[in-house]
Amino acid sequence: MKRNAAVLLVLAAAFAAIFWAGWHNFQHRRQIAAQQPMQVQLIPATPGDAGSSANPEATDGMADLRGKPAPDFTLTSLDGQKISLADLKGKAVLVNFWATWCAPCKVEMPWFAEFQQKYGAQGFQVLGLAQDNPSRDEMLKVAARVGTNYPLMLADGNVDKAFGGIDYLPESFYIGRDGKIVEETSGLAGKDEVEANIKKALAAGGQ
Amino acid sequence: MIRLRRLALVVALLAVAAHAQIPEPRGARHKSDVVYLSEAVTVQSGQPSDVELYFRVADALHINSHTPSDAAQIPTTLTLAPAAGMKVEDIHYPSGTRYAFSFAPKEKLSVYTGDFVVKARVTAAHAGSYVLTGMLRYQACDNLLCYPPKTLPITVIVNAR
Repeated sequence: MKRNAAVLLVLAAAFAAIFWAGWHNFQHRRQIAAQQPMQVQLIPATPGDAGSSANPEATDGMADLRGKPAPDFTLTSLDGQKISLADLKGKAVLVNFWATWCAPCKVEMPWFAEFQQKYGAQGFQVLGLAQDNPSRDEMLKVAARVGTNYPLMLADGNVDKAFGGIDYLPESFYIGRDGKIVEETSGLAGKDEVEANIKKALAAGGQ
Repeated sequence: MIRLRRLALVVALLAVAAHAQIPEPRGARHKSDVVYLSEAVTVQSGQPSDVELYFRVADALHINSHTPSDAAQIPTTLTLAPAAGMKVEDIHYPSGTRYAFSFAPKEKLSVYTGDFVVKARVTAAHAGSYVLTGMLRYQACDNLLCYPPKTLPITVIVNAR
């Protein structure tokens, strides 16, 4: 009799745990749903830009900009050249956010240089946007150390917001020839994955 | 009776599984990447004493040591403001452990993981209770990505006898 009571007690506790988990799950989803409109408003974008319809829950912590036009920006490279993303339409572009203090960023930068060399003639261009406001000397040091052969420039605080906010580094956006984002990655990706994404960008929006 | 027990077991397993499926909020994984663990410490007044300050780096993360292997990396640095009647003379950091990203095994970093202790040498002029405030500046990464530098405000309560 006592055993039966104990088993029933365990059953009741287990049912209570299931109910609690379900309720917690429901509340969590409701909270995310409630937050989404607010997060979209935080992304400054003009109508029609990628940010205006971003879905901040679509990929791992990144706004899902895939399939959307890449937000345009104009920045000055280390050698003083003004580079606008719009001017690169017709090319596949890799926009890579990095920082001088970011060790994984510097692991993949030589790969980008290698792929710039390999696919540049096919219309591929890498742009490296430094997020940590380093001095020109610091950027030159990194450029020399990792052997970049593509423009490095300072992100101006607006570009990262337009790309959905850069919460950690590295983050990369692969843009097709038509100016639409075809893939995005956060964190260090494998070299093969980087190359596959570049090929995807080169194949997308062909003219 | 046996059936009832089996049913209880199945339901209990279901309960555990249901709990495990609760999704982690995005970005919350490393909300507190470093925490300060110390409580009040007691020192002898009138002589230099080492105060041990305990910190814990969240699982799967590392922060650069005070002497990173690459000058571009942000060192972990503790600053303590002196309090009236208490001098902070020196701060001693532990050595970092060697760490390499799997994609670049040859590039060794000097990092702190798990628990680490920073020692502050202080001298209290008189017996009494002192409150030191300070900041731990650090920059955290996991095995694939890095977070922007942060500062962790800390309060150290030092009781001098």
